[in-house]
Amino acid sequence: MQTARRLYVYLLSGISLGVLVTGLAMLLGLLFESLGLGPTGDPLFDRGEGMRQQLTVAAAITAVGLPLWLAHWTAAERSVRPDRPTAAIERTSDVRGLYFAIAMGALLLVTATALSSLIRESILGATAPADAYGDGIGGDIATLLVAGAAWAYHVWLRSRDWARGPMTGGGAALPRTYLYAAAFIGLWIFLTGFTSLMELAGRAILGEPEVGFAPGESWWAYPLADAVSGIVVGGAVWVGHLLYARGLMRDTGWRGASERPARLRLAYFVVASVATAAASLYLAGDAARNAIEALLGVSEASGSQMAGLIALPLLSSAAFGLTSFLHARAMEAEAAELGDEERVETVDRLRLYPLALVGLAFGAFGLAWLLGIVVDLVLPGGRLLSGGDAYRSELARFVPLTLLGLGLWFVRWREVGVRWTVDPSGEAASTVRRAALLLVLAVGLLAGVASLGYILYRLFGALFGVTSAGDPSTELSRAIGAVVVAAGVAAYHGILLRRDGTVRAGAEPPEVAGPGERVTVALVVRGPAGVDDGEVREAVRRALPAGYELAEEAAPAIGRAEVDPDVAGA
Amino acid sequence: MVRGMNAHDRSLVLVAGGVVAVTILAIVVVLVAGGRQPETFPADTPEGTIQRYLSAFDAGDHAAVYDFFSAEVRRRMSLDDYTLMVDQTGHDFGGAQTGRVLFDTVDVSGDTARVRLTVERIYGDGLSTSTSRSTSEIRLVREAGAWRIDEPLVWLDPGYFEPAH
Repeated sequence: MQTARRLYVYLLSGISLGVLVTGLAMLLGLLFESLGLGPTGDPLFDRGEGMRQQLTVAAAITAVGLPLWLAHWTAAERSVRPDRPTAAIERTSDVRGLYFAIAMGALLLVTATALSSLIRESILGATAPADAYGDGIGGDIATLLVAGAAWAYHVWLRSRDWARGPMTGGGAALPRTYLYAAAFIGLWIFLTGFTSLMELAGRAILGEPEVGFAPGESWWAYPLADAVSGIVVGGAVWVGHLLYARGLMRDTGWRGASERPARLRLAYFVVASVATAAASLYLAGDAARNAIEALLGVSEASGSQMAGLIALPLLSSAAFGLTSFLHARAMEAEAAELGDEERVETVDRLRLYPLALVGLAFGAFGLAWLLGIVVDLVLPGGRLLSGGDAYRSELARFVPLTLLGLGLWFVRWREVGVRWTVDPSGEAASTVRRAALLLVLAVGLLAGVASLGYILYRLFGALFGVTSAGDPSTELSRAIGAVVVAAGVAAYHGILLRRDGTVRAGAEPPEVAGPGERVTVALVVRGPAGVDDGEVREAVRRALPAGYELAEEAAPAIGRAEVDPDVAGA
Repeated sequence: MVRGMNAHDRSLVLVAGGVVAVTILAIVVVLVAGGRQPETFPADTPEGTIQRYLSAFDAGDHAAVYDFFSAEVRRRMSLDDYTLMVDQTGHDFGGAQTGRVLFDTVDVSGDTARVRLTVERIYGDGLSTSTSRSTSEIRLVREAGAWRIDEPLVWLDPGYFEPAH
């Protein structure tokens, strides 16, 4: 009942907030436009009439949104007032947590987009007025102020909620998801902007403008504006959220106690480290491919173009690689600082296994393709009319991918081997290791089965006389390469999983109770008043280990259901 | 060396050895053994005409490419039209970065011929690399003893042009 009411209140609050922010941003945008910050250039129609129409729409939207939001948000805020008996339940509810995560995420997106547009338009206006959109900056400033203020208000509300007492479950985790997702997205936008700026600088130094621009044209203006806006906005979002999270980690109260063991924080470091490592690998492969293509004579790029095609991806690769390294180091340092031995072990595994999987993905893909080329060229093939260079081009593309990918895997997997040698049973019992092995097994099997299915499809087609285009050896060669590599990868990881199972079985402690004997464990559950005891009993029942059951005679009613005054009033 | 290693290190050495072996094998097969080079089709055959047309196209010689079209195609499309169409359309194997053309069959009937080809395109980069194969049928006519392509093409894709007035 309460959940349904919460869903209604927060859904309507969110929708009406969106309407209100839109209306206010339009009103403020019109004010800025009247102050001379509106669109530039000759208007296509009577601007005065257009502004009056916009004012009408903005006023109507605000007039509808404001009372709707006030009514619902007042109800939401009244329910978390400290003098309310159910305030703690409301404040920590999953629905309120979800609302904050979505509202803060959406408001941050709108604010960041407006700031990005403002920076881009300002740079274009200053460097290449002809390339500027001419929309003016009034609308962007208005959106930035209104959405930014709404976002800041929600951040303040969230801090106030935490100051009133501890939170657990979805009420704490969902807004935390927002915090780390925003930090990761900000990091990615920052890095993309930074590497774009490096590429732009490289092109300027080498005198290689982007394709489609004539000499003398300001080809650099839009890429510069785009890169700078990415660096500023992405950097601000990333650093801001990460510093905020760092502050939470150092909090000595219950908020810090909730933040420090949070798995979402670990997930941020792992995702950032893995994604940037993958980007680094991809870019390094791209640089190596361009270099090999030049060596093999299958590239049409000029000398200076080739220098750019090799140096610029390498620089970007270094930037992503450094970011990956720093995140992995930060994750390790933080775990060591906390002094939790189990977390240190988990973090060490998270440093090794995900990166090994990234390397394996790139390496196995490249290896399957190389094997496919060999099969293609060894089998009697079709009559090639044109495109003999394509094999060299493929070689240039997949040799670096294979060697770089499997090189990374080799380095990480060797460290995994050291961990196994030191503590086989601890490693075999690790969830990180089991998840990694199962993931590779699943992907290997699926890739192998899909490729095998394609081979059988073509074979059956040939048997049943189905006409199909192309040369069978060329078509099937890549699939054969994929089947062989996928089978090898799946078999290797399957063997490791089986060995882990054997080690785990040997390490399990002997049963204390004899066969058929039952033991009774007494539990006392404490929590805030007003909760449905049936829900608590059901939650305990779900959390019991295999073989245990919640005896009804040992589970008396643990609380008294309270009547919510809001519901009673309705 | 292998004897002193544990099982994990031995398996790593085996995997690394396998990877290096496949990589070297691929390099040898493509570079040293020459890979699979296009076979030279006789110039007086429809497939030989298309092969030379593709060579001229890859060399960027628009005038030579234009000469491979039939009189009817050239009547409807000037060399300037064709050059403009190629410049506007560009040619990158239909958006792919590289590709191959394989000869399938040819049907000759009097002074007309239809050549069936398989076009293999390789798209994307890194883990997103993929191939696509499609069949292409090119119509040719025999004019003054030589085969000519009887449809406006940009590489092997249909060309669309605005006749110059």
